Amino acid sequence: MADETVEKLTAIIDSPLQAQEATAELYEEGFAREDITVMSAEPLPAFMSEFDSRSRGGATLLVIGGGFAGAFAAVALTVWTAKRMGLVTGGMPIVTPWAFGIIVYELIALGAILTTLVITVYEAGLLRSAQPSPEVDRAIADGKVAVAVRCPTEISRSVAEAIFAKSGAQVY
Amino acid sequence: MIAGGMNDAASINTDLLRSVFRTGKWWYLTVLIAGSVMLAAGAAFLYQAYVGIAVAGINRPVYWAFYITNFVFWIGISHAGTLISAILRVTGAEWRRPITRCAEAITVFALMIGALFPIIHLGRPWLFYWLVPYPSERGLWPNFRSPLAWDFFAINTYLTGSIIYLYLPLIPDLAMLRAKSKGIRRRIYSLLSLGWSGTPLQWHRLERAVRIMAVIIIPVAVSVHTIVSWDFAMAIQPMWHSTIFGPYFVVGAIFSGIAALIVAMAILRKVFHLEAYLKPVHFNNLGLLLLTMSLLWFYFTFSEYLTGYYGNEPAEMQIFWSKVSGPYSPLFWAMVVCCFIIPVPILAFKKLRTITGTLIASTGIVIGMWLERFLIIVPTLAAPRLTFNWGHYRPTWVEILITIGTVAYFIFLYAVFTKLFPIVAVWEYKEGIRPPHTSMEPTQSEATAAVSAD
Amino acid sequence: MADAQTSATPRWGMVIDLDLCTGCEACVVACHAENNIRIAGDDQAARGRSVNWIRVERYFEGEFPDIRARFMPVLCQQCDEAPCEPVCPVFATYHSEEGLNAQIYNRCIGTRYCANNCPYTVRFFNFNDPVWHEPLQNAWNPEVSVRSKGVMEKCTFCVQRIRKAEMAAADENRPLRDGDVVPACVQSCPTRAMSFGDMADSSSNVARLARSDRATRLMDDLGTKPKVVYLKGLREG
Repeated sequence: MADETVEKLTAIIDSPLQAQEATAELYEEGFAREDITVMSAEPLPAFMSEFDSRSRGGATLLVIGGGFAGAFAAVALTVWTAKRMGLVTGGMPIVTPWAFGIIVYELIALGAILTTLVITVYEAGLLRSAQPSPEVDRAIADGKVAVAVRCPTEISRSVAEAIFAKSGAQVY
Repeated sequence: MIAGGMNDAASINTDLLRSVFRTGKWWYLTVLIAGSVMLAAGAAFLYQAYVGIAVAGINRPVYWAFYITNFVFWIGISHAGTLISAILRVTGAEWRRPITRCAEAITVFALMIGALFPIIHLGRPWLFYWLVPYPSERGLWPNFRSPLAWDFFAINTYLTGSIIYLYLPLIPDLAMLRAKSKGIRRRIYSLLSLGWSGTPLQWHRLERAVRIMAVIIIPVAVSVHTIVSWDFAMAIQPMWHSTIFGPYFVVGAIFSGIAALIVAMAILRKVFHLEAYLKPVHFNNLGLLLLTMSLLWFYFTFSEYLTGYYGNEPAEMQIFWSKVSGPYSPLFWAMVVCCFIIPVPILAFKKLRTITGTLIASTGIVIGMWLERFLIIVPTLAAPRLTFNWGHYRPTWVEILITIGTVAYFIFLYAVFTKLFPIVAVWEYKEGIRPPHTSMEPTQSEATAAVSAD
Repeated sequence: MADAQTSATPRWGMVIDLDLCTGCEACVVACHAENNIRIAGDDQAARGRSVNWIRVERYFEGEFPDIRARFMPVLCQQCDEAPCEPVCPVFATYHSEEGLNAQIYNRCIGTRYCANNCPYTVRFFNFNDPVWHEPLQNAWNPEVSVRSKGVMEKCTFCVQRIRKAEMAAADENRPLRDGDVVPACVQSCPTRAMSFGDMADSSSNVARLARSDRATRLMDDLGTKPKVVYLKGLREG
């Protein structure tokens, strides 16, 4: 993300349809997928199609894994610690599977929940990425679509500007 | 007033963010009154902690009364969010969009308040942390056999899950608020929105997370109220020791939760002028769900009492009659009227299932369900097996004040919430109403039939 | 489990002969004195908060002039399968090796679940700090604690007397004899209706009485395995 101010061009486009056309043209002109960032205030299905088939299975597995971690933590918390400290239960068994099982159930859910949160924050790049500049932010909030392009060379910059000019976009 | 700007993002923003950016004098008044009552209740609690439970109406044999009633009641109310947000999301019901956040907020606040009561009712409340498993000098661990220990884990899991479930869909709206505010507010929203910019990857991950959470939170919610019901069902007292309590309480919780949601929605609609967003159709659909739950509730209650009556066990029958025709009968029949007799006709006929109609039904149901919890707890405790020890219960000002104080606390939290965040999920609402000509895919349901850029 | 000699680990039990009980409540008074039980006062007692670790339940049967009054002293049954034990979240009530259901005041945080699960209603809660007006605090038994507000309490089978007898026996290098341990209620009963001893010692008084054909236990169909045996055989009339 170096030299943002020199290399990054952000266009505010009025409608998702125009943004779609603009990005299509940018791809045709040779811009790489990673260099183009679209930002909007609602999910735009047209741009999200590429994600649908891929990562779905991975996330579910991770969440299930989180559930197992929760179960493990529950067993450690209830069974192992109680046995290790030689809990004096006064005649009751130290470990009661059905009762401790309820706690295992709850911590499985908690593990899955926390894993979902962590992988979402991580994969969405939240906490790591910078938010848009205030003008762009305001435009997005009003329903426009922002398209940011990384232009390493002067030529690519003018190409991008030309494409954006066609949709009557404001460029920063 | 709103009709012309329905599809205009800017005007939707104005409508839905109005509560955040403009404060009327009624808001200040509400917060002031609710805050004062809340503080008075807090003082009452401190007084009780100092003098002892003697200042409450609790006695031998009625060792649990108002506080535990409130505990179960608020945990029950918290099932509103789960039903609306999670089940309706999972089933793809589009009409849920304007009401998800309102419901999720109810869940979080109701849980927070419900979780206070196990502390309030303790004889030595300053030692409540002994329920937490931590290495202590006492060489002890909590007794995981106790339903109260299960309560601790269940409620904390549900609370954590609900807060995350409320927070995740809030992030895009926090970004919007960040864009539109200045100064210290902007900094806070920036922090809370975690740098959200709204890229397609972020949207995809967020929606996926919400989908996964919706699936996880439903079994958690079911287990939470089941475990709360087991505080009673696991005891051997007559009319408590019943296997029906698990499902009975879950049904009752969803029932009271939807009713509370309708009441909250009706108030928000009026106060924040959201007539175009919280429409009669929402109240109609929720009203239908409420009707179903009312019938289910009646089914469970009828089963519970019929089997007790038919079994004719002396200890149980004493309690049965004390509720049906004895000292508790006014409350019992008020409960039946509030939960079944009044709501069912109102909700069954479309002509009556208006916003006002559902509001009346829901208010009655909220009161009736509070009575139901009270009637489960107190009559059983007042009539122990050894009849020499029968007692009675009368609440004192401390219990009444704390009860009212927690309602005030709920209102306070909700008022603060509406001031900080939009009560209708703006992005989710817009996603649902996107007209065909502004996007490649006409509707959300066809989004999976991907059309890539050509 | 019961041996012919005095067992190494006694199982304490009590026998109450209902045919001898006159309902005089001397046991109640003795228990109050021995265990520093609070004086509730008129107001608190009217609100159902008086504390009587042993109480005499009185039931009237029949119509005038054929009324009979039945007296039944009820105290903590020290159940072997106590319903109060599993539900305490902080292990404040637990089963000792000698078969007693022990209440540990320091652990109690006052959830009152144990009291709600006791079918005999023998558990008492300290709703506020107890007050002894001058000079009644001079009557405190120094061997028993004074409980503060917020904790549950109940009959302990005078565990302080059990310990005292056990320590005396250990000092004198002899086993405990039957009759060494006498709780306050047993000691004070004018008709000698109550007996206490080691149920595991088959030659003890209580074990012998418990084998009588008049022996019954209170609500033992609930499966609580109470250790108080009631003797009842007198016919009506």
